[in-house]
Amino acid sequence: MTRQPGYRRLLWGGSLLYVLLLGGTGILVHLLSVSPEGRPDILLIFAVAACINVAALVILFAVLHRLIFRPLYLLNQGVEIVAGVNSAYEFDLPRHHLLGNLPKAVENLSTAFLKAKREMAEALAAGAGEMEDRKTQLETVLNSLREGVIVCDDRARILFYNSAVRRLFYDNEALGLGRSLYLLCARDPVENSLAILRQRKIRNEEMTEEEKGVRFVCTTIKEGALLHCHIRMLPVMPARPWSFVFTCEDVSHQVDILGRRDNRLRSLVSKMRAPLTNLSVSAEGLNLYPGLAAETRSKFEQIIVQETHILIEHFDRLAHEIQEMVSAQYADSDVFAGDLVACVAKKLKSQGVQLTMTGDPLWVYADSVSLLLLLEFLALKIRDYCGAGTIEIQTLLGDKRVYFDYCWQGSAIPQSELQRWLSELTGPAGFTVSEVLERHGSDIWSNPHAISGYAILRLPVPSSPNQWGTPEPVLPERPVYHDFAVLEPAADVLTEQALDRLTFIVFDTETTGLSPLDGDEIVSLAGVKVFKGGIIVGEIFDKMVNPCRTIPRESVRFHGITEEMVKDKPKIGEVLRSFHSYVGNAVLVGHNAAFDMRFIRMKEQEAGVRFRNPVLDTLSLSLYLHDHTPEHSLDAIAQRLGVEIRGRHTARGDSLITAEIFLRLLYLLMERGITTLGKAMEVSRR
Amino acid sequence: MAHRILIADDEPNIVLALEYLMKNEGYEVQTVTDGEDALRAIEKNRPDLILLDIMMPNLDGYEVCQRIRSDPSMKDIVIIMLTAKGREVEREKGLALGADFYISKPFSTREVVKKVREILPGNPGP
Repeated sequence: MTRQPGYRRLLWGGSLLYVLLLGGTGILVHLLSVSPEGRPDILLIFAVAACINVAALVILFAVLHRLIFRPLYLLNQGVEIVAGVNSAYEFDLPRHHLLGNLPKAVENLSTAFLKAKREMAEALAAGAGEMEDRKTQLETVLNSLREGVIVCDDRARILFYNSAVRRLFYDNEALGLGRSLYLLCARDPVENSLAILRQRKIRNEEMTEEEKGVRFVCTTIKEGALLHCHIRMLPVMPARPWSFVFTCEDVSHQVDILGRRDNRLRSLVSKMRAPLTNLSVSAEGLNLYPGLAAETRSKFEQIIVQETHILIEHFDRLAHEIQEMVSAQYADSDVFAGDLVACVAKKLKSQGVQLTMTGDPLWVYADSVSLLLLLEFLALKIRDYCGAGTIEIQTLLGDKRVYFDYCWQGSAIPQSELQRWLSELTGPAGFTVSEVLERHGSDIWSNPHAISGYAILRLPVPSSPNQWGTPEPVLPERPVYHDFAVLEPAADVLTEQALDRLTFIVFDTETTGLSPLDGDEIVSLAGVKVFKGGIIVGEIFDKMVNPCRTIPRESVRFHGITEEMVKDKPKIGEVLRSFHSYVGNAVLVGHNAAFDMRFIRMKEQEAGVRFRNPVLDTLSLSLYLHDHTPEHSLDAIAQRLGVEIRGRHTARGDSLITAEIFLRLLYLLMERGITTLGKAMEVSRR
Repeated sequence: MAHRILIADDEPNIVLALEYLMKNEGYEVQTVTDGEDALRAIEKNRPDLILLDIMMPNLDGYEVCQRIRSDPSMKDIVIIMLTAKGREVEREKGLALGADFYISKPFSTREVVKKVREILPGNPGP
């Protein structure tokens, strides 16, 4: 049976007490107030009665507050947390209260709520699985593109980008979701192209495929790279502003090569004019005046000899340039020689040829498709001509080429036979052998092998310029995509902006100590981007800083950063500049942000940047939201709001925890009607 | 006895010039204009040095070179290859097939004479 709620008993008891008090008071007053004259003293009766009444009420209220009102308030706070951000929250109620079964009932309700929420999440996850698969597939496809792909809204803010873009703008902090495309590349070419597209659309709603896009060239701002770009409008969705997709490819390298070659060709051709003129004048002179004096004649002859030599020299260089041009036109790329041979071996197996590979793991720079056909063709021809069923390909590194040496038991193939192969096709509808050879600036020849009884056929292929180059930096985090939600037009005043539309950078520093005024310095600075209710994991800022001073042992024990670890790191000026570019006009958020901001402000002058961004403090926000508790350390808040603690006491780890906390605080603020940045800053300052 | 040189090239003007120059240097000179004639000439009257053009009708210079090198009795014959293409890979191919030197066209006659004189010294000048 359910126990009768305690407050009813309290009420009955309270009332009874009150009646008794009143009765007692009446009797007491009556006894006291009878004056010697035997007449009641009315004034005294009222005074005493009032005092006793007030005392009774105060006691009653204190009891009610302790046993009912405060527990109710705490219960309410708990319900808010459970409903909004942390379903696993454990209610923190005083031991004695008169709420009877209410807390238990609420806890049961929250357990049931947690269970229902989990079940729903599971059901949703199961249903969303397929969708997620497709999304992952799409992400994978977009990330495997060599071209950079950026989707922007009507104000050129980035809604999406793929891995190629991250590689292109590696180490450029201005790349980020919600940031402007114009922080990355020149504005004019993009705007002009967009204007052309809009104009076309006005002129003719039904555009041809070709008309839907514009090609152009533009440069990147930080890297100074030259991009081949293509812009295309995306189909307009109902109730959404228009958006466009921007694809780009870095052609700086090719352009460099081509540009230099153009210059060399022009200069070579112009250098040939003078010797040709001299040659022609002298030859004509000799021809026109057969009777020239021997001395003059010999001068003319001298000129002819000299100028011919100069011409030959220029001609040689010109010929060299032209050869390079031939091989640069095709779809050449870096290919691993082992992969090529393995592919060929697989195909040859079905045709009864055993092809094995030895030699160094080498990279070639070649048109892989035609080279593959050629490799297969040559193996088959060797088998046919020499009857060799087992062939070994050995790869060797020459001066500028990688040699594919076919080795087999038997004798070398005469040049006259190889000459005949040249005009044959390497595959159905493919190229002739000589075309593929020409394309790679190559040739084939056959010799007896150093081991007697064996022969080789050598095919040189251009070596990759990056044979032992350092591999490109691996970017561990895959970019996270913005769902293509509408971005609200920005309010003119930042403080008027809705909290859920803003970009936040939640940041943290690790330092050598607590007082920047006494020379303590930042050793690590991290930032996490929060946007539209989520953390953008692909855009985390995390840099160590050389503090240019010793790091006290007690602080090393705290954050684990030693002098050895930071001695090659950039100084604070450089890191702050890069952080400034990363932050843009986002709102800064920190736990006890004033502490970190003090360190940053001290270095603004040195860095030559100033952070004018609004700052929010998670500590103050937590104090405002949960004034029922004195616990507002990062760990306490994390536990209260159900944030898992990982990587504590690193700038990156603490930023991530603070960001998770901030997301939950943001939700609670919105629930309480704190919906704009201005209001949030106001309560943060209280 | 004068050294003997065989000039094998299908370009008559070059043959003319080279023949004149080499004779002028005091060598005994024989000329042919295709690969098969070259092999026959070598068989009949073994030269000390061959100026061998790559692009020739019937048998090309590579083939001639390969045949000469496949016969151990001819291992002492010095082969200088002449080529109009001048690609780097051809030089490599020529040397791989047994040529000793490689000169690309256009060449200066001075260069050829200098090379031959280095290889076959001891000839009295004109």
